[in-house]
Amino acid sequence: MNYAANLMSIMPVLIVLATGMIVLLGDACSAQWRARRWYTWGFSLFGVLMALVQAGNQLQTQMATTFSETAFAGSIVTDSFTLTCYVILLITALLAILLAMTYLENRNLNLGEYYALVLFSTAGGMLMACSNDLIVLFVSVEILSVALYVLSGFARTEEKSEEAALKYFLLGAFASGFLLYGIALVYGGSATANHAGTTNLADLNLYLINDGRPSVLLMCGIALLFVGLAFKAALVPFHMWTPDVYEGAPTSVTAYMAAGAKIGAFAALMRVCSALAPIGEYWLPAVQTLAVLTMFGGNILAVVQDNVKRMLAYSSIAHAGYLLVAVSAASVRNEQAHNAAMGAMAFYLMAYAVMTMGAFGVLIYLSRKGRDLQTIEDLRGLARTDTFAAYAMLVFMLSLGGIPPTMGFMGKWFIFSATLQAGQVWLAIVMALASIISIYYYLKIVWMMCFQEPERPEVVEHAVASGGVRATIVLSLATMLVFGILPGALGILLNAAETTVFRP
Amino acid sequence: MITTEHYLVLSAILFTVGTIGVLVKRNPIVIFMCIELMLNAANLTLVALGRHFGQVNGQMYVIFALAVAAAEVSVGLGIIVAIFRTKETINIDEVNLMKF
Amino acid sequence: MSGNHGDILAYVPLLVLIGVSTAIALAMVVGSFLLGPKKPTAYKATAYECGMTPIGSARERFPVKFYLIAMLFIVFDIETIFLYPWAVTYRAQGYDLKIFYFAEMLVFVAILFVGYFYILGRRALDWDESERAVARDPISPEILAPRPPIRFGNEKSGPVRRLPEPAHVPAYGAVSQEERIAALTSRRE
Repeated sequence: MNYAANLMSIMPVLIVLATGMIVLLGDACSAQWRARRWYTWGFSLFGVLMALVQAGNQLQTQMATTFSETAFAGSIVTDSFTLTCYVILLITALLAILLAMTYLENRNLNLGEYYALVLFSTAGGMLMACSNDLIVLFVSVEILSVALYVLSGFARTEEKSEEAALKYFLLGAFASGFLLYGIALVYGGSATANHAGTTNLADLNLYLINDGRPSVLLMCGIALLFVGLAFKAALVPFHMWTPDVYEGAPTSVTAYMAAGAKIGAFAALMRVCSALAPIGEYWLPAVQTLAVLTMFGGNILAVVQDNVKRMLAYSSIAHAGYLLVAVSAASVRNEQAHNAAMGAMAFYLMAYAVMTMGAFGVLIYLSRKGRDLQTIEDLRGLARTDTFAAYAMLVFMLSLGGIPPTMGFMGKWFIFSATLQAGQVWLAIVMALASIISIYYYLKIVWMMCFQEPERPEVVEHAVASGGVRATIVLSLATMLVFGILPGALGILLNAAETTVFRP
Repeated sequence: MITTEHYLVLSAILFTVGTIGVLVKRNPIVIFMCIELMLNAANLTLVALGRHFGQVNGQMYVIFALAVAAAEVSVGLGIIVAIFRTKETINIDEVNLMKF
Repeated sequence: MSGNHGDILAYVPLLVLIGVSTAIALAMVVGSFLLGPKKPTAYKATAYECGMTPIGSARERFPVKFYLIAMLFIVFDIETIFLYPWAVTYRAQGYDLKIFYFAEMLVFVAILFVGYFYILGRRALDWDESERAVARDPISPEILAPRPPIRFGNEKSGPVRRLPEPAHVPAYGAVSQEERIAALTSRRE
């Protein structure tokens, strides 16, 4: 494989990175405030669209040839799962950038760095999805998170935002410590008498297939690796930072963080778990326990929240639990179930991204100048005062709760059936129970919006309601309903796993 | 004779010290130093193992980890300075507007 | 340990390097001592502490710019270590690959320069605050306003007791440095 081909295989990532750097430079070097405003916003959108086109192209070629290639001496793999994750992440970034401009201007935060950081962290997430080596994984996790640390403290004069940044930073860095030490132990633990250790996931997979019993060092390494990734993916009991950070960060950042970081973390988790599948009996119980804890913990804590952003934070934890069920189902030694679970996970990630961006988009739409929408009370009687926002929110809540005919329902259904296929019946039942709890608090919002009288019946002017925010909401709504009714149209996502490099 | 095991044990001890430090300290700068200790424990493991296997990989990994740690340091110090500017304190017990 | 002469001779260049660098350093110190003009003032004679006033409370607030420069330095400093593995592999390549390797490193350095130009564009390296373009981006006035005393994280919450700055100590720029030092010194006594 020559060098150009290596670079070609990660072209979407390179486009995003280059866009980020150009935005950063152009913003710092131009003096005209008004020009910068459109330049940074427009150019980032353009770059993301370019990357999306490129990723789509590659995905199409990929589907035609079903050829998964590794690049950079095996440290990066481009298969259809990778490319699907690219597409999902890029769509998230697109929506996040669309959402941002007027919201940031209302909070006096509209700086070019915002877009550059969103692009950088998107690139980090994309690299996480394609990494086939634990060190690449580590570096890309950090690219994703360092940008997000800064973003969550982007309202740099507000105490809440700074506090969110500090908490996220300290716990995130703590988690990276675990991640790196886990990688180091895996490197040591995968050695045999004749072979040096490896951090390459494909080599690790081969080693585990040939040499079934893992060493103690390897088991410790895997455990630490899971702790590190669980922090990033916000799984109970490593979720403490999530509600605080989601509440404190500017809402547009929260929207991006909720979707983008989770997609990256789960793509990475899926890669690691697929590589470790041959010794599934050693670690699968731990992952299943985490999944149960996360689903119930997230849902039960969400019930008692008054703050909408905090509630959505706990709900995102619960969704991480559902995704972890898919990871568990993908880790069985049954190729059909493995593929079904990978596809279900890709579909659910897409659904989750769209509904999260949409729900936070409505919150941004409703926030007024200098004041974010905070409590559930603020939504009282919304159906009277702002019908569009209320009904959009209604659909997003139904989708998050997993009620048909939305994408959220289809996603849950796919995960459910994949889990049954994998023979983990009890986990599927637990997941169904947990999502029943979740319906309570999603419907609480619906009830507040639609069946309560507004405090002030007049129609409120929404300073933030720009075309970009409306576009995000409408795009998310459309995606969610169309693919909720016609999930087959996303056949690519469902077949995502056909050509991954690992053998379970 | 100092063997690879010695390095592994040392790095495990360093890692544990770092972890405990993160959990018990209240000053973010000190917490951050403890996190650095954890990262460097991992670096020591990587270097020792790379040497043990006769590979150059271990050392390369450490260079990546160092670069990442440097980026984290600057972002972390930036956040701490920003907090100090508005709150006049960086004691972690006083940075708690948001609770459960 | 059994080495032959060839092994030891390999270290001769190192010895020469150490010798030459020591000689140059010595020559600089001695040369400036012998040749430099000497006009000592009270201010020049004080201990040098990185631009800080050497006398007074150790917990004096100093410009946050120091932190900024330090943070920027850390990042750019660490990036250069990637040059070492590159240099090692570069030597082992054939001619055509060398061109490719060189281009790769140029790209790497170009990316570093993106960061550098960003810093320049943001005027993060400008020391003169008065020249700073005010309201280039909104910075809230309370950030620029004067501050109450510092608290560090290591005490149980509550302000640090701090030497009160007497009113008669003149501010920087109001009087000469010598007078300011004299004022501070008298305060300590």
